[in-house]
Amino acid sequence: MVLSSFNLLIFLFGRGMGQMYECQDQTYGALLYLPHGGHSKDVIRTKAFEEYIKDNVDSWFRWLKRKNFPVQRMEDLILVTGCTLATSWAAAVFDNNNMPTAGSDSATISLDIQKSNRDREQFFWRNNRGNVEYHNSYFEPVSFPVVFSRRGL
Amino acid sequence: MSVHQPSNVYREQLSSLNRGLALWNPKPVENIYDQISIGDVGYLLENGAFMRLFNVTLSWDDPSNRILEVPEEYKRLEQNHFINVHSSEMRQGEYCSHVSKVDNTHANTHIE
Repeated sequence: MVLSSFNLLIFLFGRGMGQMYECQDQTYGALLYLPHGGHSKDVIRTKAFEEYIKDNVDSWFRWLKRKNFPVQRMEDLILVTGCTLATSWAAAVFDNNNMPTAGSDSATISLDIQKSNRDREQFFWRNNRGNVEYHNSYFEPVSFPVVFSRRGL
Repeated sequence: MSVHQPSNVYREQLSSLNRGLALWNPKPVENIYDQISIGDVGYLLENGAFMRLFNVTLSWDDPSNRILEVPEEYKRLEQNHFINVHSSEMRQGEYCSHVSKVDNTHANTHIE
């Protein structure tokens, strides 16, 4: 990793605290952790979708408005051309906007991952400093969460 | 999150990874669909989940396209557009935007 500056930050922790993550931006940051990675599928030639979208998007949008779906703009419509699925995930959003001393302290969080008795992960979070929202998956064998979707619209 | 919805911040931040729309709530919407699929048309909910309306690889009046509302009749997208689907694996580990790991194993020192 290229180091852009040489500010030295020192943190003290006990054992079993998991991995610590720190927001490096003065506004926001985000983290996705995939314990088993994910599986992606993508249409290679998305150009083929363009004519189809042009032919249909007006009528789809009119239909949405008529049915009172909460879609304000045509560009809010999504046609999925690819996705990444993962069975296990942890995600966090960091907000550094309201830190008491801008630039000196950063929102930080620790994530510890342990195997449960069903050989699935259990996630343990600790919000060390600042404003961080976080959540994670639970073992649900019939669910196939998508962590990323690719759009053609 | 005091200023912005976490789902919006999460999506905006992880867009820099060029992997598509990052969903803060990746679980399929219960009783609407089981798994997101290529060809799905929908929109994002405020909580960061994807709401599926219908799938254009299926006929407009397919039962799975009529769960929320019956869509207007459309010409199904021909299957030959989906012949070339590339599959790949996403590695295990972290995917971050403006977030870094802090080495807290021993001296717990992080150089920024």
